[in-house]
Amino acid sequence: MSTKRTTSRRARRARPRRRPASRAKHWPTPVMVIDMIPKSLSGETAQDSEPHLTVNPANSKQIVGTAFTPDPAGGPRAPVYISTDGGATWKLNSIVPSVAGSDTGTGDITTGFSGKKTTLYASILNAGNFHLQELRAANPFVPTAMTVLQDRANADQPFTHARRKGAKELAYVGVNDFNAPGGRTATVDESLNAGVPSPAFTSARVEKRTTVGQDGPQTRPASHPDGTVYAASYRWRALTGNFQANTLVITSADVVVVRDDNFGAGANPFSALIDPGDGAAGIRVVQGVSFPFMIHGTTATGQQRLGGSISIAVDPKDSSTVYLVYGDQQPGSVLTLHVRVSRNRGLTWSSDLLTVGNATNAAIAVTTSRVIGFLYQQIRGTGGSMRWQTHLRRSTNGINWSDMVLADTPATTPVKTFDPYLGDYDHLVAVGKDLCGIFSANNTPDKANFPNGVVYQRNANFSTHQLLKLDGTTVVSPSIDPFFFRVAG
Amino acid sequence: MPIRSSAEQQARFVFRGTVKKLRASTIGGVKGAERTAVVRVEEVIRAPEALSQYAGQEITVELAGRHKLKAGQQAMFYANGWIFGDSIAVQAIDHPPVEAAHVTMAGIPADPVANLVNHDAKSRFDQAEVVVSAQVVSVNLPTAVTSTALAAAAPGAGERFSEHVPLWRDAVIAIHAVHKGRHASKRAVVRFPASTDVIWHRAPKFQPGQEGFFMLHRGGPKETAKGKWAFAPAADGDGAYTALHPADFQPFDHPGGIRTMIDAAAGARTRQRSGVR
Repeated sequence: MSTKRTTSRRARRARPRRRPASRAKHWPTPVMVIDMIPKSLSGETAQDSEPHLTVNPANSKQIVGTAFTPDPAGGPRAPVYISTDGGATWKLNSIVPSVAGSDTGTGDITTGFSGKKTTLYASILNAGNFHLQELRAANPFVPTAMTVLQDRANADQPFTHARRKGAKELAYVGVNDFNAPGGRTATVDESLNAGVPSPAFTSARVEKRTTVGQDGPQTRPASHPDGTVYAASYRWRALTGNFQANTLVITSADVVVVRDDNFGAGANPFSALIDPGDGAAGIRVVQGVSFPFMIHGTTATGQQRLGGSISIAVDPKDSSTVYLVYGDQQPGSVLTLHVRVSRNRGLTWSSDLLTVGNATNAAIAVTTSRVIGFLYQQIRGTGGSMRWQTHLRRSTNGINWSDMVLADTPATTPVKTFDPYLGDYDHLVAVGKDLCGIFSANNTPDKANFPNGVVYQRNANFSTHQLLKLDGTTVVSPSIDPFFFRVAG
Repeated sequence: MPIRSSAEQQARFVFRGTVKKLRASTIGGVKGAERTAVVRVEEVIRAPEALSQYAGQEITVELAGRHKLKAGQQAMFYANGWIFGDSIAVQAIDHPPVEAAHVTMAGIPADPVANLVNHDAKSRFDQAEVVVSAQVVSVNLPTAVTSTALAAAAPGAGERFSEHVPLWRDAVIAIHAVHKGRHASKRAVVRFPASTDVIWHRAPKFQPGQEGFFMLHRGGPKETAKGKWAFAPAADGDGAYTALHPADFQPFDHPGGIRTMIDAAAGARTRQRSGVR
């Protein structure tokens, strides 16, 4: 597929200067999926799983993606994927602290543009010492290493979100912090003036109730320009089985949503929502759900480890409307995703707007035209014919949902080199009326695997379904690649 | 054995190249600047798999070091990664003239990927406290882990669960010979992570009966007390070594590698004893 444009200079001059933000001129098709591995790395075979994405609110052509991707030259800095043309082309820029020779770059990584010029925030588990590090780059498109703003041990699955408040930049990082007292580990690290040279971060403990000794790893923040900030997490209440034997089951968990109405400022942030059932901060949207918490994936789960899934998004036109996806185990399904909505600032919640079985890696976003986008990856089939389908569902009312299959790829090949096979998450963001997202999948160049089309930057032969090295002839084994997509609103 | 320069030690991508054009770039979005140059890769000396095929290609190099280069000049480039798009750009740590680098690079085999593996193995050999040839006798749960495993079997007892836990195991090894450092006993305990998680998957996974060279280290991450996250670094205390890097174990039938280093180290010791420099 080609994005080559043949428009004449005269025709370009005649074109109106201002275009709708949702349909940038560099993105001519309504749906586009692209393998983000650049041509110069046609020989790469890394397991580039657990992708994440951020689009610069100040310039939607500027996008940064991340995955478990090592520096291709094996150096001491891990790369981010960068695009300056709205996702039509991608490069790697090695700017993230790592260690030489790492084959995954980091132990976790997510990023967020604040919207102030090109400033990017990131949080990682450092590949060398496994510490949580919160990072900043003034410009991720130049080769300057990111600055470490905070560093500590014993914290997991940092999930970055950033925004502007006037001239200030705000950074929120959902994290499962094992340093938290009393096993109340669900935490949002926040800096309400992150743009200063040495910003202060505070750890807001969003878990207010007793737990089994910890919460789940997923703590997801989402914010609105009016100062509303939500965060969603699993409160673990009971478990059984043996983690080392891969039989651990969270037998009782609550899905909790907290809210702050002033950007997370004040002495007791994220306490605006009080659950009428127990008077504690944080609404228990559902109580007593159960799901496996796997240390490694199995053939029955398409090589992917499962451990719950949470995503939250606030309506950009109305901060009182907030959407939530959570996962639990239902009969006949390894993990079931539930989409719900609250229209009164998280106080009460709907029943399921949509329920999807055998699925994980939920990500939800809401566009400025109030289209709900819901990304997930679903296991289909059994045994050797098992496949991972990546779906984007959309709805304007939460009742009728379209279903777009972005990828339909084998779940048995390649054999995983580590866990997680596809990632413990993927990501979806709204960019005006458009939806931009990222997922990881088997990269076999077969158009049947990508029903809505696909573009490869790396060398590939779609007739023979073979990847090719830089020389254009040597065959490369299939691996897991990150794929960016953009669906016009 | 030649002394390894800092650039030679740090660089992961090493190649002999010819400067084609100064202040120029091969990669979209990277403008030719004062210190960038287009360089034709003549021969790849050391590289990860993804860059092993770059001989004959023109790439962008951000120059560094004290050696000034002119168009048409050949140099040995010691580099790390920078930007990867249609072409690649790398940041050179140094780029001495080929003649100066020739001594340290003499005798390097032709496979750049194998050279990088050997480079890593040499680094681990240099860092190791003890290098032994040995056989794995048994693999057990460490004592501290046994208690936490019991806790895991009793939900709510305070054990914490993360997808990144290392799942420590202790391999007991019977030592045939000590090649570097001192270890008095005929046995040693090597702690390793059994986890296949992204953080731990590359560490050697030992099985009873395995034989080979072990490069053993101290002070790595280890099991911590109940209630703390299991891969927090902790001070050494129970005498176990660690082997966390893929190069820390090599089977006896692996060609070259550690055996070559052991022979070289033995030769150096002999020369030292006999006063030969």
